[in-house]
Amino acid sequence: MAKKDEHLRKPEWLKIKLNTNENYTGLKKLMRENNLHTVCEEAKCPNIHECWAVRRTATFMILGSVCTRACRFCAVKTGLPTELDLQEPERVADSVALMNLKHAVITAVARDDQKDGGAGIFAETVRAIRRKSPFTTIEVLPSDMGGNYDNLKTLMDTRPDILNHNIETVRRLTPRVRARATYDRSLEFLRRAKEMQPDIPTKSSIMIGLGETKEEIIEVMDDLLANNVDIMAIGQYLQPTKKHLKVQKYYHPDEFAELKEIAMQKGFSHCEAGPLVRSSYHADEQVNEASKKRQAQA
Amino acid sequence: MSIPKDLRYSGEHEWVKVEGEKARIGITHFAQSELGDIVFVELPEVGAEIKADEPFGSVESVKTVSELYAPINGTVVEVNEDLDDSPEFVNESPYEKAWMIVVEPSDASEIEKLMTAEQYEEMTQED
Repeated sequence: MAKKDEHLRKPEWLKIKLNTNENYTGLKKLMRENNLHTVCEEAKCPNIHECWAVRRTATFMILGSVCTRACRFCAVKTGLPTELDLQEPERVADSVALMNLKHAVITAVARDDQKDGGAGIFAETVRAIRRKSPFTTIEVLPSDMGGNYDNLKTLMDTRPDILNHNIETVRRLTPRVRARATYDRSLEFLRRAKEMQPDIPTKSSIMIGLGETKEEIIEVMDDLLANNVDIMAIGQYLQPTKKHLKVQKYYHPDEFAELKEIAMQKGFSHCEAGPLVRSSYHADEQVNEASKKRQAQA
Repeated sequence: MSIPKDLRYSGEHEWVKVEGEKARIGITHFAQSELGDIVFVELPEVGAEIKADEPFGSVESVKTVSELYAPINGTVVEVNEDLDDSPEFVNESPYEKAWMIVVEPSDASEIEKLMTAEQYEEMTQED
């Protein structure tokens, strides 16, 4: 019986339902046929059944399925990356069109092996989606691209509707949680993105439950705002496999509601906070007014 | 992994194996692969009544908690205690070592109405 007690049981509010209807199996088929990857699958996201089966949205993960970094929270495979696939932008764009997405989120593995950090293909993916689905809003979610701001400029020049870059955790825990990325570099990345294209909303997310304090979470809010970030998302960290960092705390939905209130009072234009909130959860609702007009035509 | 031909399947991804007057119940390979590493299995006590389409327990994986839905009506006569200490059996051996409960069905004909292996394969296949 002792063994049971060692394990921090998941609370009721993390309960999900396996919904494997034809939308779900249809999307799986589409991804396999087009050799596409999604962070939904690779990260074992708990929302996949809601997003794929009910909302019919997905977050594409480009530049291959193998990441050059090995962050201790992340389930994406790590190792020697695959060769860049020059056809990937068109295949992603075709799938966005086929799925008739109102809002497309594109993320990528970190390609520290590439001189341009994969920015060229990332940018081409945004342009290909624009060509094929002009009314779809596009959110890009890059890594820090090695802190090379020419790479960021390549991406920002494509005029995405949201630039999302995750700071992931509080300052103190960053070295333990993230590989190679630094807290200050992520802040700078976000600030520079805003300087390059001031009218494009910027967004950043953190996972909580890794052992941070409330004061440290509030410090992240202040740091993001000081770097002109518009939107913040806060979600519960969940351990993707037994080999990853353990959950230190499950926050109650009321605690998330309080954090959201603090964030909004501090001046974010939008804050999504909740146990199952992920970086791109309900992202279609977070675009600015100009982008909403585009969506309305879709 | 192939889907055992001699079992019946529910839309909620439980399998049922008829053993004389009784029925053994577990979750499918597909279900465990959707859930990820299982870290805890919560099952009813012997003697509990289970009601078709209602939860009889839950499985907790690294990222989620998901209810187990009873495929049929019945009374629990045996519970797999091994899953207390070895929840990983659900991932390693969903059709054998990780059976969850044995029930006495209230109406054995309910089992006939569940999906066959072919029908379940059709429902979950990606290609």
